[in-house]
Amino acid sequence: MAEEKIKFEKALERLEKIVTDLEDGDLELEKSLKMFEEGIKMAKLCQSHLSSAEKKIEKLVKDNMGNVSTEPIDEEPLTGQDELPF
Amino acid sequence: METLFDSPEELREKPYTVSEISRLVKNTLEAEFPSIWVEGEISRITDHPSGHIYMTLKEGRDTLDANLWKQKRGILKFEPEQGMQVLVKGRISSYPPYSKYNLIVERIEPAGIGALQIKFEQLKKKLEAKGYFDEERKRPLPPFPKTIGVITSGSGAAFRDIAGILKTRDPGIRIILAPVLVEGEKAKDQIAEAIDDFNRLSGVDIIIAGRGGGSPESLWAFNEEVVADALFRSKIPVISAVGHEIDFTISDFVADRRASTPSNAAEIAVKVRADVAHTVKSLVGRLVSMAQSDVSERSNRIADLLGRTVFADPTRFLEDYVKRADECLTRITKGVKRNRLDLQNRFDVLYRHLKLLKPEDLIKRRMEKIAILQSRLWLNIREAVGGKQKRYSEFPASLLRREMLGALAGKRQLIAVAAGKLDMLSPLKVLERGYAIARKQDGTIILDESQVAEGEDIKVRLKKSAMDCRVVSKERIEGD
Repeated sequence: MAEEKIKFEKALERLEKIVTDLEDGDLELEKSLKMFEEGIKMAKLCQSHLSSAEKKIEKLVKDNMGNVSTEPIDEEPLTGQDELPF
Repeated sequence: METLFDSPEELREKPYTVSEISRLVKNTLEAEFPSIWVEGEISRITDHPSGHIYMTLKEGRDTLDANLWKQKRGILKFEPEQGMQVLVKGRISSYPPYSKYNLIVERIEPAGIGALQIKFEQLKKKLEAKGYFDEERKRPLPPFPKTIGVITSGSGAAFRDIAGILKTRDPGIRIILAPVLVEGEKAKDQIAEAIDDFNRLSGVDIIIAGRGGGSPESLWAFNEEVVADALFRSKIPVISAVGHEIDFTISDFVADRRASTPSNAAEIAVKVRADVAHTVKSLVGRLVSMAQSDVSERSNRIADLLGRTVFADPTRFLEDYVKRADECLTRITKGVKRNRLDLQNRFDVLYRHLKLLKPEDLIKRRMEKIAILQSRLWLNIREAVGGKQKRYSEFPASLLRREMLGALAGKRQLIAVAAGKLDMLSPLKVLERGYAIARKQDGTIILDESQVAEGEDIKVRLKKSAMDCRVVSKERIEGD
Protein backbone atom coordinates (compact mmCIF):
# COMPACT_ATOMS: atom_id res chain seq x y z
CA MET A 1 0.00 0.00 0.00
CA ALA A 2 1.39 3.32 -0.95
CA GLU A 3 2.06 5.63 1.97
CA GLU A 4 1.13 8.76 0.06
CA LYS A 5 -2.21 7.35 -0.99
CA ILE A 6 -3.15 6.64 2.59
CA LYS A 7 -2.27 10.17 3.36
CA PHE A 8 -4.48 11.47 0.61
CA GLU A 9 -7.42 9.32 1.59
CA LYS A 10 -7.02 10.17 5.25
CA ALA A 11 -6.50 13.80 4.43
CA LEU A 12 -9.65 13.93 2.35
CA GLU A 13 -11.63 12.09 5.01
CA ARG A 14 -10.26 14.37 7.70
CA LEU A 15 -11.00 17.43 5.61
CA GLU A 16 -14.59 16.28 5.11
CA LYS A 17 -14.97 15.59 8.82
CA ILE A 18 -13.54 18.96 9.76
CA VAL A 19 -15.82 20.82 7.38
CA THR A 20 -18.96 19.02 8.57
CA ASP A 21 -17.93 19.40 12.21
CA LEU A 22 -17.35 23.10 11.73
CA GLU A 23 -20.66 23.44 9.93
CA ASP A 24 -22.58 21.44 12.51
CA GLY A 25 -20.95 22.21 15.78
CA ASP A 26 -20.99 25.14 18.06
CA LEU A 27 -17.31 24.79 18.78
CA GLU A 28 -15.12 26.82 21.01
CA LEU A 29 -13.18 29.48 19.18
CA GLU A 30 -9.87 27.89 20.03
CA LYS A 31 -11.04 24.48 18.83
CA SER A 32 -12.55 25.81 15.64
CA LEU A 33 -9.39 27.76 14.85
CA LYS A 34 -7.33 24.62 15.38
CA MET A 35 -9.66 22.64 13.17
CA PHE A 36 -9.54 25.29 10.52
CA GLU A 37 -5.76 25.16 10.55
CA GLU A 38 -5.82 21.40 10.30
CA GLY A 39 -8.37 21.59 7.51
CA ILE A 40 -6.14 23.88 5.51
CA LYS A 41 -3.25 21.50 6.06
CA MET A 42 -5.36 18.57 4.86
CA ALA A 43 -6.52 20.55 1.85
CA LYS A 44 -2.88 21.29 0.93
CA LEU A 45 -2.04 17.60 1.21
CA CYS A 46 -4.92 16.74 -1.08
CA GLN A 47 -3.98 19.39 -3.56
CA SER A 48 -0.37 18.32 -3.68
CA HIS A 49 -1.58 14.85 -4.53
CA LEU A 50 -3.85 16.17 -7.21
CA SER A 51 -1.17 18.29 -8.76
CA SER A 52 1.28 15.39 -9.11
CA ALA A 53 2.97 15.45 -12.51
CA GLU A 54 2.10 13.09 -15.33
CA LYS A 55 3.94 9.83 -14.95
CA LYS A 56 5.56 7.67 -17.57
CA ILE A 57 4.12 4.26 -18.13
CA GLU A 58 6.32 1.54 -16.69
CA LYS A 59 6.59 -2.15 -17.20
CA LEU A 60 7.22 -4.94 -14.83
CA VAL A 61 10.62 -6.61 -15.29
CA LYS A 62 12.18 -9.54 -13.55
CA ASP A 63 15.87 -10.41 -13.32
CA ASN A 64 17.40 -13.88 -13.33
CA MET A 65 17.09 -14.08 -9.58
CA GLY A 66 13.36 -13.51 -9.87
CA ASN A 67 13.49 -10.00 -8.37
CA VAL A 68 10.79 -7.77 -9.73
CA SER A 69 11.21 -4.11 -10.57
CA THR A 70 9.90 -1.64 -13.09
CA GLU A 71 11.32 0.37 -15.94
CA PRO A 72 9.80 3.08 -18.09
CA ILE A 73 8.54 2.16 -21.53
CA ASP A 74 7.75 4.10 -24.65
CA GLU A 75 4.24 5.27 -24.75
CA GLU A 76 4.01 4.92 -28.51
CA PRO A 77 1.67 1.98 -28.27
CA LEU A 78 -0.88 4.32 -26.73
CA THR A 79 -1.16 6.09 -30.02
CA GLY A 80 0.38 3.75 -32.55
CA GLN A 81 -0.49 0.24 -33.56
CA ASP A 82 3.09 -1.07 -33.35
CA GLU A 83 3.97 -3.89 -31.10
CA LEU A 84 5.77 -3.17 -27.88
CA PRO A 85 9.48 -4.02 -27.93
CA PHE A 86 9.37 -7.06 -25.70
CA MET B 1 -31.01 -53.95 -8.63
CA GLU B 2 -29.42 -57.16 -9.73
CA THR B 3 -26.41 -56.99 -12.06
CA LEU B 4 -23.96 -59.45 -13.51
CA PHE B 5 -21.30 -58.69 -10.99
CA ASP B 6 -23.31 -59.24 -7.89
CA SER B 7 -24.96 -62.48 -9.05
CA PRO B 8 -24.36 -65.38 -6.67
CA GLU B 9 -21.60 -67.81 -7.78
CA GLU B 10 -23.83 -70.83 -7.99
CA LEU B 11 -26.01 -69.10 -10.54
CA ARG B 12 -23.07 -69.29 -12.96
CA GLU B 13 -23.41 -73.07 -12.97
CA LYS B 14 -26.89 -72.79 -14.32
CA PRO B 15 -27.44 -71.37 -17.83
CA TYR B 16 -29.02 -67.97 -18.04
CA THR B 17 -32.11 -67.59 -20.02
CA VAL B 18 -31.85 -65.06 -22.85
CA SER B 19 -34.20 -62.76 -21.08
CA GLU B 20 -32.26 -63.09 -17.87
CA ILE B 21 -28.92 -62.24 -19.41
CA SER B 22 -30.41 -59.45 -21.48
CA ARG B 23 -31.87 -57.85 -18.38
CA LEU B 24 -28.71 -58.37 -16.35
CA VAL B 25 -26.62 -56.72 -19.07
CA LYS B 26 -29.06 -53.86 -19.23
CA ASN B 27 -28.97 -53.44 -15.44
CA THR B 28 -25.21 -53.69 -15.35
CA LEU B 29 -24.74 -51.08 -18.05
CA GLU B 30 -27.18 -48.69 -16.48
CA ALA B 31 -25.62 -49.08 -13.05
CA GLU B 32 -22.11 -48.58 -14.37
CA PHE B 33 -22.76 -45.64 -16.71
CA PRO B 34 -25.64 -43.70 -15.28
CA SER B 35 -24.35 -40.33 -16.50
CA ILE B 36 -21.38 -39.89 -18.79
CA TRP B 37 -20.06 -37.53 -21.40
CA VAL B 38 -19.08 -39.00 -24.74
CA GLU B 39 -17.33 -37.14 -27.51
CA GLY B 40 -17.62 -38.26 -31.08
CA GLU B 41 -18.50 -37.45 -34.63
CA ILE B 42 -22.07 -37.87 -35.82
CA SER B 43 -21.70 -40.41 -38.64
CA ARG B 44 -25.39 -40.99 -39.20
CA ILE B 45 -28.49 -39.17 -37.98
CA THR B 46 -32.17 -39.99 -38.49
CA ASP B 47 -34.95 -37.66 -37.47
CA HIS B 48 -37.64 -40.31 -37.16
CA PRO B 49 -41.30 -39.44 -37.83
CA SER B 50 -42.05 -40.68 -34.31
CA GLY B 51 -40.11 -37.66 -32.99
CA HIS B 52 -37.14 -39.65 -31.74
CA ILE B 53 -33.70 -38.91 -33.13
CA TYR B 54 -31.37 -41.82 -33.81
CA MET B 55 -27.69 -41.08 -34.17
CA THR B 56 -24.52 -43.06 -34.60
CA LEU B 57 -21.40 -41.57 -33.05
CA LYS B 58 -18.11 -42.72 -34.35
CA GLU B 59 -14.45 -42.43 -33.72
CA GLY B 60 -12.33 -44.13 -36.37
CA ARG B 61 -13.83 -47.58 -36.86
CA ASP B 62 -15.72 -47.62 -33.55
CA THR B 63 -19.33 -46.59 -33.27
CA LEU B 64 -21.93 -45.97 -30.60
CA ASP B 65 -25.62 -45.59 -31.15
CA ALA B 66 -27.19 -42.68 -29.38
CA ASN B 67 -30.92 -42.09 -29.08
CA LEU B 68 -32.54 -38.77 -28.28
CA TRP B 69 -36.12 -39.46 -27.25
CA LYS B 70 -38.88 -37.20 -28.42
CA GLN B 71 -39.53 -35.88 -24.89
CA LYS B 72 -35.91 -34.67 -24.69
CA ARG B 73 -35.81 -32.76 -27.96
CA GLY B 74 -36.20 -29.54 -26.00
CA ILE B 75 -32.59 -29.75 -24.83
CA LEU B 76 -31.27 -29.20 -28.35
CA LYS B 77 -29.58 -25.78 -28.61
CA PHE B 78 -28.45 -26.46 -32.14
CA GLU B 79 -29.27 -28.76 -35.05
CA PRO B 80 -27.02 -31.84 -34.92
CA GLU B 81 -25.75 -32.77 -38.34
CA GLN B 82 -23.85 -35.60 -39.89
CA GLY B 83 -20.09 -35.12 -39.61
CA MET B 84 -20.44 -32.80 -36.62
CA GLN B 85 -18.15 -33.33 -33.65
CA VAL B 86 -20.33 -33.40 -30.57
CA LEU B 87 -20.27 -33.97 -26.83
CA VAL B 88 -23.15 -36.05 -25.64
CA LYS B 89 -24.24 -36.56 -22.09
CA GLY B 90 -26.41 -39.48 -21.13
CA ARG B 91 -26.60 -43.01 -19.77
CA ILE B 92 -25.70 -46.32 -21.39
CA SER B 93 -28.58 -48.67 -21.64
CA SER B 94 -29.63 -51.75 -23.53
CA TYR B 95 -32.87 -52.71 -25.22
CA PRO B 96 -33.43 -56.39 -24.47
CA PRO B 97 -35.41 -57.14 -27.65
CA TYR B 98 -32.28 -56.26 -29.63
CA SER B 99 -29.68 -56.59 -26.87
CA LYS B 100 -27.78 -53.72 -28.33
CA TYR B 101 -26.44 -51.12 -26.03
CA ASN B 102 -26.75 -47.48 -26.80
CA LEU B 103 -26.46 -44.04 -25.30
CA ILE B 104 -29.68 -42.43 -24.11
CA VAL B 105 -29.04 -38.73 -24.79
CA GLU B 106 -29.84 -36.16 -22.15
CA ARG B 107 -27.72 -33.31 -23.42
CA ILE B 108 -25.84 -32.60 -26.59
CA GLU B 109 -23.25 -29.90 -27.24
CA PRO B 110 -20.95 -29.10 -30.07
CA ALA B 111 -17.53 -30.43 -29.10
CA GLY B 112 -14.63 -28.07 -28.41
CA ILE B 113 -16.57 -25.33 -26.70
CA GLY B 114 -18.70 -28.01 -25.23
CA ALA B 115 -15.75 -29.66 -23.58
CA LEU B 116 -14.52 -26.36 -22.32
CA GLN B 117 -17.97 -25.61 -21.01
CA ILE B 118 -17.86 -28.81 -19.00
CA LYS B 119 -14.44 -27.94 -17.69
CA PHE B 120 -15.67 -24.48 -16.83
CA GLU B 121 -18.67 -25.78 -14.97
CA GLN B 122 -16.58 -28.30 -13.08
CA LEU B 123 -13.96 -25.75 -12.06
CA LYS B 124 -16.60 -23.23 -11.12
CA LYS B 125 -18.25 -25.76 -8.85
CA LYS B 126 -14.95 -26.72 -7.30
CA LEU B 127 -13.78 -23.16 -6.66
CA GLU B 128 -17.14 -22.12 -5.37
CA ALA B 129 -16.92 -24.95 -2.85
CA LYS B 130 -13.47 -23.71 -1.86
CA GLY B 131 -14.92 -20.30 -1.14
CA TYR B 132 -13.13 -18.51 -3.95
CA PHE B 133 -16.25 -16.59 -4.94
CA ASP B 134 -17.40 -15.60 -1.45
CA GLU B 135 -18.48 -12.02 -1.35
CA GLU B 136 -17.03 -11.64 2.14
CA ARG B 137 -13.47 -12.13 0.96
CA LYS B 138 -13.74 -9.50 -1.73
CA ARG B 139 -11.95 -6.34 -0.78
CA PRO B 140 -13.15 -2.87 -1.57
CA LEU B 141 -10.99 -1.02 -4.04
CA PRO B 142 -8.93 1.77 -2.55
CA PRO B 143 -10.77 4.97 -3.50
CA PHE B 144 -7.67 6.93 -4.45
CA PRO B 145 -5.08 4.58 -5.93
CA LYS B 146 -1.78 5.99 -7.13
CA THR B 147 -0.44 2.95 -8.89
CA ILE B 148 -2.26 0.54 -11.14
CA GLY B 149 -0.74 -2.74 -12.26
CA VAL B 150 -2.09 -3.95 -15.59
CA ILE B 151 -1.79 -7.57 -16.66
CA THR B 152 -2.56 -7.95 -20.34
CA SER B 153 -0.99 -8.21 -23.71
CA GLY B 154 1.55 -5.54 -24.41
CA SER B 155 0.41 -5.37 -27.99
CA GLY B 156 -3.36 -5.53 -27.73
CA ALA B 157 -5.94 -2.81 -27.76
CA ALA B 158 -6.86 -3.60 -24.18
CA PHE B 159 -3.76 -1.98 -22.71
CA ARG B 160 -4.09 1.09 -24.95
CA ASP B 161 -7.69 1.46 -23.80
CA ILE B 162 -6.83 1.02 -20.15
CA ALA B 163 -3.80 3.29 -20.16
CA GLY B 164 -5.60 5.91 -22.23
CA ILE B 165 -8.55 6.09 -19.89
CA LEU B 166 -6.39 6.04 -16.76
CA LYS B 167 -4.25 8.90 -18.06
CA THR B 168 -7.25 10.90 -19.12
CA ARG B 169 -8.91 10.54 -15.76
CA ASP B 170 -5.80 11.19 -13.73
CA PRO B 171 -2.54 12.16 -15.42
CA GLY B 172 -0.72 11.62 -12.13
CA ILE B 173 -1.59 7.94 -12.02
CA ARG B 174 1.29 5.49 -12.20
CA ILE B 175 0.74 2.61 -14.61
CA ILE B 176 2.82 -0.53 -14.59
CA LEU B 177 2.26 -3.02 -17.35
CA ALA B 178 2.99 -6.68 -16.89
CA PRO B 179 3.06 -7.82 -20.49
CA VAL B 180 1.76 -11.35 -20.81
CA LEU B 181 0.48 -13.68 -23.44
CA VAL B 182 -3.27 -13.73 -23.02
CA GLU B 183 -3.95 -16.82 -25.06
CA GLY B 184 -2.22 -20.03 -25.90
CA GLU B 185 -0.50 -22.60 -23.79
CA LYS B 186 1.67 -20.23 -21.78
CA ALA B 187 -0.98 -17.63 -21.09
CA LYS B 188 -2.36 -19.04 -17.85
CA ASP B 189 1.04 -19.38 -16.21
CA GLN B 190 2.20 -15.93 -17.29
CA ILE B 191 -0.98 -14.31 -16.00
CA ALA B 192 -0.70 -16.13 -12.66
CA GLU B 193 2.96 -15.22 -12.37
CA ALA B 194 2.27 -11.58 -13.12
CA ILE B 195 -0.31 -11.44 -10.35
CA ASP B 196 2.25 -12.85 -7.93
CA ASP B 197 4.94 -10.47 -9.22
CA PHE B 198 2.78 -7.40 -8.61
CA ASN B 199 2.24 -8.62 -5.09
CA ARG B 200 5.99 -8.71 -4.59
CA LEU B 201 6.43 -5.22 -5.95
CA SER B 202 5.50 -2.66 -3.36
CA GLY B 203 3.22 0.22 -4.06
CA VAL B 204 0.67 -1.33 -6.39
CA ASP B 205 -2.84 -0.37 -5.29
CA ILE B 206 -5.00 -2.14 -7.83
CA ILE B 207 -4.34 -4.83 -10.44
CA ILE B 208 -6.32 -4.94 -13.64
CA ALA B 209 -6.10 -8.35 -15.31
CA GLY B 210 -7.76 -8.94 -18.63
CA ARG B 211 -7.85 -8.78 -22.36
CA GLY B 212 -10.06 -7.60 -25.14
CA GLY B 213 -12.91 -9.55 -26.63
CA GLY B 214 -12.39 -12.78 -28.53
CA SER B 215 -13.76 -16.26 -29.05
CA PRO B 216 -14.58 -18.22 -25.90
CA GLU B 217 -11.49 -20.35 -26.51
CA SER B 218 -9.26 -17.30 -26.74
CA LEU B 219 -10.48 -16.07 -23.35
CA TRP B 220 -9.77 -19.45 -21.84
CA ALA B 221 -6.66 -18.55 -19.88
CA PHE B 222 -8.91 -16.60 -17.53
CA ASN B 223 -10.85 -19.77 -16.80
CA GLU B 224 -7.79 -21.64 -15.64
CA GLU B 225 -7.34 -22.81 -12.12
CA VAL B 226 -3.76 -21.48 -11.80
CA VAL B 227 -5.06 -18.02 -12.59
CA ALA B 228 -7.91 -18.44 -10.12
CA ASP B 229 -5.43 -19.53 -7.46
CA ALA B 230 -3.18 -16.52 -8.10
CA LEU B 231 -6.16 -14.20 -7.94
CA PHE B 232 -7.26 -15.81 -4.71
CA ARG B 233 -3.81 -15.34 -3.15
CA SER B 234 -3.37 -11.77 -4.28
CA LYS B 235 -3.09 -9.26 -1.46
CA ILE B 236 -3.77 -6.50 -3.93
CA PRO B 237 -7.38 -6.09 -5.02
CA VAL B 238 -7.87 -7.25 -8.60
CA ILE B 239 -10.29 -6.09 -11.24
CA SER B 240 -11.01 -8.76 -13.78
CA ALA B 241 -11.62 -7.35 -17.24
CA VAL B 242 -12.02 -10.09 -19.79
CA GLY B 243 -13.64 -9.71 -23.16
CA HIS B 244 -17.03 -8.12 -23.46
CA GLU B 245 -19.99 -7.51 -21.22
CA ILE B 246 -21.48 -10.93 -22.01
CA ASP B 247 -18.34 -12.92 -21.31
CA PHE B 248 -18.05 -14.41 -17.87
CA THR B 249 -14.86 -16.14 -16.79
CA ILE B 250 -13.67 -17.84 -13.64
CA SER B 251 -11.45 -14.81 -13.11
CA ASP B 252 -14.53 -12.62 -13.01
CA PHE B 253 -15.89 -14.67 -10.14
CA VAL B 254 -12.67 -14.80 -8.15
CA ALA B 255 -11.52 -11.22 -8.67
CA ASP B 256 -12.55 -8.56 -6.18
CA ARG B 257 -14.37 -6.74 -8.90
CA ARG B 258 -15.56 -7.61 -12.40
CA ALA B 259 -15.37 -5.07 -15.13
CA SER B 260 -17.38 -5.60 -18.28
CA THR B 261 -14.49 -4.49 -20.49
CA PRO B 262 -10.88 -3.34 -20.03
CA SER B 263 -12.00 0.27 -20.49
CA ASN B 264 -14.60 -0.21 -17.82
CA ALA B 265 -11.90 -1.55 -15.49
CA ALA B 266 -9.93 1.65 -15.90
CA GLU B 267 -13.03 3.69 -15.11
CA ILE B 268 -13.73 1.64 -12.02
CA ALA B 269 -10.14 1.85 -10.78
CA VAL B 270 -9.48 5.54 -10.98
CA LYS B 271 -11.62 8.58 -10.27
CA VAL B 272 -11.49 11.57 -12.55
CA ARG B 273 -8.90 13.84 -11.04
CA ALA B 274 -10.90 16.91 -11.88
CA ASP B 275 -13.83 15.50 -9.91
CA VAL B 276 -11.66 14.78 -6.92
CA ALA B 277 -10.07 18.19 -7.25
CA HIS B 278 -13.53 19.67 -7.37
CA THR B 279 -14.51 17.81 -4.22
CA VAL B 280 -11.42 19.07 -2.44
CA LYS B 281 -11.96 22.56 -3.75
CA SER B 282 -15.55 22.68 -2.58
CA LEU B 283 -14.52 21.36 0.82
CA VAL B 284 -11.89 24.07 1.05
CA GLY B 285 -14.50 26.59 0.02
CA ARG B 286 -16.82 25.40 2.73
CA LEU B 287 -13.98 25.39 5.22
CA VAL B 288 -12.95 28.95 4.42
CA SER B 289 -16.47 30.32 4.35
CA MET B 290 -17.19 28.44 7.54
CA ALA B 291 -14.17 30.00 9.20
CA GLN B 292 -15.12 33.42 7.88
CA SER B 293 -18.68 33.18 9.04
CA ASP B 294 -17.48 31.77 12.34
CA VAL B 295 -15.14 34.68 12.85
CA SER B 296 -17.69 37.22 11.73
CA GLU B 297 -20.34 35.66 13.91
CA ARG B 298 -18.05 35.82 16.87
CA SER B 299 -16.96 39.37 16.16
CA ASN B 300 -20.61 40.33 15.78
CA ARG B 301 -21.29 38.84 19.14
CA ILE B 302 -18.38 40.77 20.62
CA ALA B 303 -19.53 43.96 18.96
CA ASP B 304 -23.00 43.27 20.20
CA LEU B 305 -21.74 42.79 23.73
CA LEU B 306 -19.58 45.89 23.55
CA GLY B 307 -22.60 47.80 22.37
CA ARG B 308 -24.52 46.96 25.51
CA THR B 309 -25.05 49.88 27.93
CA VAL B 310 -22.82 48.39 30.54
CA PHE B 311 -19.82 48.79 28.29
CA ALA B 312 -20.97 51.86 26.41
CA ASP B 313 -21.45 53.90 29.61
CA PRO B 314 -20.40 52.01 32.69
CA THR B 315 -21.67 54.80 35.00
CA ARG B 316 -25.19 54.23 33.76
CA PHE B 317 -24.94 50.82 35.21
CA LEU B 318 -24.58 52.50 38.61
CA GLU B 319 -27.21 55.15 37.99
CA ASP B 320 -29.98 53.21 39.55
CA TYR B 321 -28.01 52.59 42.67
CA VAL B 322 -26.94 56.22 42.89
CA LYS B 323 -30.54 57.28 42.42
CA ARG B 324 -31.75 54.98 45.09
CA ALA B 325 -28.99 56.03 47.45
CA ASP B 326 -29.86 59.67 46.82
CA GLU B 327 -33.48 59.01 47.47
CA CYS B 328 -32.70 57.29 50.72
CA LEU B 329 -30.45 60.13 51.78
CA THR B 330 -33.09 62.70 50.94
CA ARG B 331 -35.70 60.79 52.85
CA ILE B 332 -33.42 60.41 55.85
CA THR B 333 -32.57 64.11 55.85
CA LYS B 334 -36.18 65.06 55.42
CA GLY B 335 -37.20 62.76 58.21
CA VAL B 336 -34.61 64.10 60.55
CA LYS B 337 -35.56 67.67 59.67
CA ARG B 338 -39.22 67.02 60.08
CA ASN B 339 -38.60 65.36 63.39
CA ARG B 340 -36.53 68.22 64.62
CA LEU B 341 -39.06 70.69 63.33
CA ASP B 342 -41.82 68.80 65.08
CA LEU B 343 -39.95 68.80 68.32
CA GLN B 344 -39.08 72.44 67.90
CA ASN B 345 -42.68 73.27 67.16
CA ARG B 346 -43.93 71.32 70.07
CA PHE B 347 -41.35 72.91 72.29
CA ASP B 348 -42.27 76.34 71.01
CA VAL B 349 -45.96 75.74 71.65
CA LEU B 350 -45.30 74.41 75.10
CA TYR B 351 -42.90 77.20 75.79
CA ARG B 352 -45.47 79.75 74.75
CA HIS B 353 -48.06 78.03 76.85
CA LEU B 354 -45.67 78.00 79.71
CA LYS B 355 -44.95 81.65 79.16
CA LEU B 356 -48.65 82.36 79.14
CA LEU B 357 -48.96 80.43 82.36
CA LYS B 358 -46.04 82.36 83.83
CA PRO B 359 -46.55 82.10 87.62
CA GLU B 360 -44.89 85.46 88.24
CA ASP B 361 -47.57 87.07 86.06
CA LEU B 362 -50.24 85.24 87.97
CA ILE B 363 -48.65 86.23 91.17
CA LYS B 364 -48.26 89.75 89.89
CA ARG B 365 -51.86 89.88 88.74
CA ARG B 366 -53.03 88.45 92.04
CA MET B 367 -50.89 90.93 93.91
CA GLU B 368 -52.25 93.77 91.79
CA LYS B 369 -55.74 92.53 92.51
CA ILE B 370 -54.83 92.33 96.19
CA ALA B 371 -53.42 95.82 96.03
CA ILE B 372 -56.57 97.10 94.39
CA LEU B 373 -58.70 95.33 96.94
CA GLN B 374 -56.52 96.70 99.75
CA SER B 375 -56.72 100.20 98.47
CA ARG B 376 -60.48 99.88 98.09
CA LEU B 377 -60.67 98.56 101.58
CA TRP B 378 -58.71 101.45 102.84
CA LEU B 379 -60.91 103.80 100.92
CA ASN B 380 -63.99 102.26 102.44
CA ILE B 381 -62.48 102.39 105.83
CA ARG B 382 -61.47 106.01 105.35
CA GLU B 383 -64.89 106.89 104.09
CA ALA B 384 -66.46 105.12 106.95
CA VAL B 385 -64.00 106.58 109.37
CA GLY B 386 -64.15 110.01 107.66
CA GLY B 387 -67.91 110.30 108.25
CA LYS B 388 -67.53 109.39 111.84
CA GLN B 389 -64.62 111.78 112.21
CA LYS B 390 -66.78 114.54 110.92
CA ARG B 391 -69.55 113.54 113.28
CA TYR B 392 -67.17 113.22 116.08
CA SER B 393 -64.98 116.24 115.31
CA GLU B 394 -67.01 118.51 117.36
CA PHE B 395 -66.74 116.07 120.24
CA PRO B 396 -63.93 116.48 122.67
CA ALA B 397 -61.04 114.31 121.93
CA SER B 398 -61.52 112.15 124.95
CA LEU B 399 -65.08 111.72 124.16
CA LEU B 400 -64.20 111.01 120.71
CA ARG B 401 -61.72 108.60 121.86
CA ARG B 402 -64.13 106.87 124.10
CA GLU B 403 -66.69 106.92 121.41
CA MET B 404 -64.20 105.56 119.05
CA LEU B 405 -63.05 102.95 121.40
CA GLY B 406 -66.60 102.02 122.16
CA ALA B 407 -67.40 101.85 118.46
CA LEU B 408 -64.33 99.84 117.90
CA ALA B 409 -65.23 97.48 120.65
CA GLY B 410 -68.70 97.22 119.22
CA LYS B 411 -67.26 96.53 115.88
CA ARG B 412 -64.89 94.02 117.33
CA GLN B 413 -67.74 92.18 118.91
CA LEU B 414 -69.64 92.28 115.73
CA ILE B 415 -66.70 90.83 113.93
CA ALA B 416 -66.32 88.18 116.56
CA VAL B 417 -69.97 87.28 116.29
CA ALA B 418 -69.65 87.24 112.53
CA ALA B 419 -66.56 85.16 112.82
CA GLY B 420 -68.33 82.82 115.20
CA LYS B 421 -71.19 82.58 112.79
CA LEU B 422 -68.78 81.94 110.00
CA ASP B 423 -67.11 79.34 112.10
CA MET B 424 -70.40 77.72 112.70
CA LEU B 425 -70.97 77.60 108.99
CA SER B 426 -67.78 75.62 108.35
CA PRO B 427 -68.73 72.06 107.56
CA LEU B 428 -66.19 70.85 110.00
CA LYS B 429 -67.96 72.72 112.70
CA VAL B 430 -71.21 71.13 111.55
CA LEU B 431 -69.58 67.73 111.88
CA GLU B 432 -68.31 68.77 115.26
CA ARG B 433 -71.87 69.13 116.21
CA GLY B 434 -72.56 65.45 115.30
CA TYR B 435 -73.67 65.78 111.76
CA ALA B 436 -72.30 63.41 109.17
CA ILE B 437 -71.81 63.57 105.41
CA ALA B 438 -72.94 60.60 103.43
CA ARG B 439 -71.37 60.04 100.04
CA LYS B 440 -71.79 57.59 97.27
CA GLN B 441 -68.78 55.51 96.28
CA ASP B 442 -67.95 58.06 93.62
CA GLY B 443 -67.90 60.80 96.15
CA THR B 444 -71.26 62.40 95.36
CA ILE B 445 -72.90 63.75 98.49
CA ILE B 446 -76.15 62.00 99.15
CA LEU B 447 -78.89 64.58 99.72
CA ASP B 448 -81.84 62.39 99.13
CA GLU B 449 -82.70 58.73 99.66
CA SER B 450 -83.53 58.52 95.97
CA GLN B 451 -79.81 58.76 95.20
CA VAL B 452 -79.07 55.40 96.69
CA ALA B 453 -80.35 51.92 96.35
CA GLU B 454 -80.85 49.45 99.07
CA GLY B 455 -77.72 47.38 99.64
CA GLU B 456 -75.50 50.07 98.11
CA ASP B 457 -72.25 50.74 99.83
CA ILE B 458 -71.79 54.33 100.85
CA LYS B 459 -69.14 56.30 102.71
CA VAL B 460 -69.97 58.29 105.80
CA ARG B 461 -67.70 61.02 107.02
CA LEU B 462 -67.68 62.05 110.66
CA LYS B 463 -65.60 64.84 112.11
CA LYS B 464 -62.51 62.86 112.70
CA SER B 465 -63.32 59.51 111.13
CA ALA B 466 -64.84 57.75 108.13
CA MET B 467 -67.01 54.73 107.84
CA ASP B 468 -67.95 52.40 105.01
CA CYS B 469 -71.66 51.69 105.39
CA ARG B 470 -74.36 49.84 103.55
CA VAL B 471 -77.85 51.10 102.97
CA VAL B 472 -80.05 48.55 104.64
CA SER B 473 -83.28 50.25 103.91
CA LYS B 474 -84.45 53.69 103.04
CA GLU B 475 -87.53 55.68 103.45
CA ARG B 476 -88.68 59.16 102.84
CA ILE B 477 -89.51 61.26 105.85
CA GLU B 478 -92.03 63.97 104.99
CA GLY B 479 -91.88 67.31 106.74
CA ASP B 480 -90.06 70.59 106.64
